[in-house]
Amino acid sequence: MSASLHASDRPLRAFTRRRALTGAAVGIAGIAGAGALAGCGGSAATEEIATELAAVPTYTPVTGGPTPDLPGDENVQPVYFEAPQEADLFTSVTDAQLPHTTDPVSAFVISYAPPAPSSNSYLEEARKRLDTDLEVQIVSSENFSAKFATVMAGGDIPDMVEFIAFDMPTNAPQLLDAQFTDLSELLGGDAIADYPNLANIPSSSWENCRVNGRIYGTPVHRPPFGSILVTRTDLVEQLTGEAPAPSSKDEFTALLDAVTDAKAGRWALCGQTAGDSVDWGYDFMAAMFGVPNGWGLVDGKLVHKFEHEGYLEMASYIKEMHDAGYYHPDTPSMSGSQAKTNIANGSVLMHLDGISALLDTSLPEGTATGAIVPFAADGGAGIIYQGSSLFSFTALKKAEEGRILEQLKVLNYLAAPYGSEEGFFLQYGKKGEHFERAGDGSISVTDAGTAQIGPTSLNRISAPPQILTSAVRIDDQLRRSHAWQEDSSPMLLKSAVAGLYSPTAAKNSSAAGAVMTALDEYILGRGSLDAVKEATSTWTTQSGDTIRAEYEEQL
Amino acid sequence: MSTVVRPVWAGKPQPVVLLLKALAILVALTVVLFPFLMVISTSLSSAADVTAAGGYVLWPRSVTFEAYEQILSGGLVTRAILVTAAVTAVGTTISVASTVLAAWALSRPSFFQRPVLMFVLLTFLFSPGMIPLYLMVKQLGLLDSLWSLILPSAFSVFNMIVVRGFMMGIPQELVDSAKIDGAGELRILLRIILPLSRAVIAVVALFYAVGYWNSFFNAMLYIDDTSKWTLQLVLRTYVLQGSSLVEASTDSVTPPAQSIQMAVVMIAIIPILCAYPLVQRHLTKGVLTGAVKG
Amino acid sequence: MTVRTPTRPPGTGVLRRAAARRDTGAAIPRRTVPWAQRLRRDYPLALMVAPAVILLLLFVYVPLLGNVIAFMDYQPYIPILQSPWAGLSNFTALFTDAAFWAAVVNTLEITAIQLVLFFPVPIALALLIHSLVWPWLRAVVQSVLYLPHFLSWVIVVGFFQQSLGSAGIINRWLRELDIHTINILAEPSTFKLLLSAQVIWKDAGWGTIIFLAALAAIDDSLYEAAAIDGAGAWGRFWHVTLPGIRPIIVLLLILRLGDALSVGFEQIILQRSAVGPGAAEVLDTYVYYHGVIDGNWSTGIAAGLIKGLVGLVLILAANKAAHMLGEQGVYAKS
Repeated sequence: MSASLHASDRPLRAFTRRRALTGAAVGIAGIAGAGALAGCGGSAATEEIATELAAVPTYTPVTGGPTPDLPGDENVQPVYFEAPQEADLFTSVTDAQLPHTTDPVSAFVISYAPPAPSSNSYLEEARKRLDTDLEVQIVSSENFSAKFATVMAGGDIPDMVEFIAFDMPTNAPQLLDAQFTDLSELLGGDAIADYPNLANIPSSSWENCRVNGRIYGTPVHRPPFGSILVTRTDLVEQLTGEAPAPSSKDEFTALLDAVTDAKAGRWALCGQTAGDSVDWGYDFMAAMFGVPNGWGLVDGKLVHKFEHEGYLEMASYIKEMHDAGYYHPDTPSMSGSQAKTNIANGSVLMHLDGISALLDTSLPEGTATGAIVPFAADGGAGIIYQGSSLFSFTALKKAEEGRILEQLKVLNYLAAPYGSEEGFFLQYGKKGEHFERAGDGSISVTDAGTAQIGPTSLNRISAPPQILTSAVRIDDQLRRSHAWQEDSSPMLLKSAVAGLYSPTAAKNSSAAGAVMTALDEYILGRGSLDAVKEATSTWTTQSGDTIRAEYEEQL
Repeated sequence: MSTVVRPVWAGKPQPVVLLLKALAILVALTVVLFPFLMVISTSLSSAADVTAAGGYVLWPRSVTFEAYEQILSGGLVTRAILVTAAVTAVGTTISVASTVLAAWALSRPSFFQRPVLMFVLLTFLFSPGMIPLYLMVKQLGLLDSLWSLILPSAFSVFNMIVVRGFMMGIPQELVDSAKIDGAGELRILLRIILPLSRAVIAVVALFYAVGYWNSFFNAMLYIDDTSKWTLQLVLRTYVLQGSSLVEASTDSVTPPAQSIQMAVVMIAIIPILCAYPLVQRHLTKGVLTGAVKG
Repeated sequence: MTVRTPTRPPGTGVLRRAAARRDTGAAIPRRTVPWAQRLRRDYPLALMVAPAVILLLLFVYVPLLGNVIAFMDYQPYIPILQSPWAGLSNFTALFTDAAFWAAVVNTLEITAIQLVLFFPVPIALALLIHSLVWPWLRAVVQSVLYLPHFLSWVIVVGFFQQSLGSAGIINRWLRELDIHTINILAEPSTFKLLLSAQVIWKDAGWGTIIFLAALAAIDDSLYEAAAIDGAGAWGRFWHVTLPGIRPIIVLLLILRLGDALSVGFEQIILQRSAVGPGAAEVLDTYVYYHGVIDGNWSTGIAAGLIKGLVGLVLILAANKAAHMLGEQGVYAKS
């Protein structure tokens, strides 16, 4: 009898995973009538597939920066143990490359932080340096989809809009085509030379700024590694006497067995809920059995992971591990943050997470985390799935070219690399106000810095390639992460359809959801492996074949 | 007022009944208070203690107000409390007024009673989508105005129907005799019906007030200026860091300390807890008898 | 404190209440009065209801026009009328999907279970609180019991996991004693009972408030009259208390039926993965996973319309039934 519910409060749901994010806030009360009253003036839905792909910008690393303590490349992040000295900074943006805009520029970005205070000296300073009246509309992550939908429908689209890579709006191609600027000619190939800081972003990121063949935004870079199996190396070493380095399925199983002790409240693995199903660490497990990254090419023919023979082997293996009691028993209802808590307090030793989990500074002192280097079940060479290499891309609303060029300069400035004066300011703010420098060179961010820099979300509009560094010294963690990246980098496996567009795949299908459900039922002992097989073949006939045909048109 | 107020007509209950009642109350209180103890304890514990305990702390090993300090520093929350209090006060007034007026008007016979009742009832069953509602608020020029937090949800059909249900139970002859004395509808409502309906009005006022106090979705959609954000919206940003977790392959956002989440719960609840006795007064037995002249 | 003396003239007993419950609409002849006269007569009432009608028009009815997309193959972000019309295909797609019907059955089962297990609890609690004679005890019990309402489902589900989950307090203890562990949270067969238990914990106390108001509105002189007539505690409950709160019970029951196809979306979606869709797929989650999440907004709106229509039928039927039993219900008898 929740009598007081305001109808409009009903839709908001707090969830723990990205599937929940997609339209969650929108909920069941439903969304309707985008542009019903305020016509957006876009063209009608186009479902044409572009068969020609625009060239991605030529990758030209910036060379003026400091030498890293541990080297990086296009895939491996370089490591800098400490922040550069102000005296050593170089200038990455010439005066001609500054935007010097006349009209204000508005941006729509996501934030994971509490809102920034209204008196924001960091933003003020950034505006001054950019010579641009930058207005940032910061939307908290929980509500991003809902706010995005209403702002798009409301007609007043901001100049720069962030599209989140893992939470793309449905029919993004049509939306981008109708409302946003095709940047292919302005940035593709060598045209990027006008924006050196943007040219410093690796190609793998740019490939995913391409929607239906055209470049629609500038990327916020992330390392190319997909999910990694984060491991409490300290506890594993304590229990087994050696660092975890399994090189085959059997060794991995033995490791799981050695560290699990249910009576002591300690389990080797845990998964977490992912919307309508459980993620049992699929990406790691599937890679172990040679399953392709989404789609793979086998003898010139596209094969989906569901159709690969390794997929059922993976299912059986996970079930075996589950039945042996190596998974934390609450896995089917465990949220992502609970999983992290369990890793932190040692009740779970391995969990699939993002690569930045290795730099988590909130872990209790003395704990050490690492990641398992991928391996193949039969002991052969391992693979690791290559992710989208970006967090988001920023698209520019349609406008006259002069204005677009100004905005590209803003994006170029905000992508100022590590070691540059601009990048240093964007990361730390003003000395004395947002950070202090101790005698040993370490940087401590002030309260004002904490309250302003992150929450202002400028690094969500545009950012340099992510590198490994830390304001406080965590050399060991950085070294471990770097070593893992060097070991795993040769194993990176791209999806065979990366950068291609399939309208059917974009629409998602409940048949794919049915496969995940069937897997859960099988692993939890409520369903059979045959039901999983059946669900995958239903998927193939219902949507798989169509998607395959759409992709093959572009190959 | 610790004297026992047992009406003369009620006899002393049997010991068995008393015992059962005491038992029921004891069980109910324990079942509710135990988790709340965990909320309070967790909000007062350090991050390390919370992690060690696996998420919830039963009794803090050492008390720290860190979580509260972190939330209340910066002035955002205190500002939001003021805004929310104002919205709640104004909104509740408007809501209760429109609800009581409508309830009374629709409990009286009139040519429009049935069609308007149906008109109102249908909105209980069918709700509009988020985007058309947003466009309407925009058309009315309410974006970034505190009115957008009040007007779209100002009238609750459920509350109106409940109030109307109570009014229908008021003896008809009270109204009739007033009519004979020449009183108009508004006068009857103010002089006779309102005093008789104090309890139910207090209840719907509470429903509305809690609704405004806890609302964040309207603020999220309609208000960009963070200095006009409601308390819950600001508090949620502390809770959600990392809770609506990003796809594993890109960012692994560190979840906020559980202690912060629990402190958020406490900060949101305490004002409600303080306001509740105001409502409770009106739920006491026998308000009616004193208010109505025979 | 002194005991109140009766302030009502004699004869204002139980009978009068029954008389007061008669339909007020029947008192005045309708069709004989001409329009202008009716308007002149009723305009004060019309003015009173005007604010509510305006609010509903602006913030419900006009935006409801957007629900036309239930009959379209709606493409978000482009002007609404550029989407192709789809007739009833969004509805037939739902009706021909076995999973949709399974979700409807689950939803109705959960609603039924909650009507039996949850609905009476606030009434019983309200009676219990109302019968307490120490004011301070009443105050304490009331203010404690309504607290859980203010916790979000994420936190409530978290509590249940912490105590009843496989690694929770109880199972940790069982494991230490080498007893077989039980995971109630991942047991599909009892999932619906679990949901009810959680709803009772969270909302039973909050639900008492409305009944407490109803109990407070019962005239003390009725009890007195009944006592004078020789009624005992049970007799007073049966002849005074129950008739006093029955109208509001019926009212809330009818309103709940109007919402029969909605059961705690957030509560269920947080726990659905543990027991699987077989036990936990309800209409709202079905729509979410088969429509909203795929950007298929038309499906969501179509399902919303179905829910509204079913709710309307149920409300009207329940109202009719209430009239037959001599109750006022939500909507006056014609």
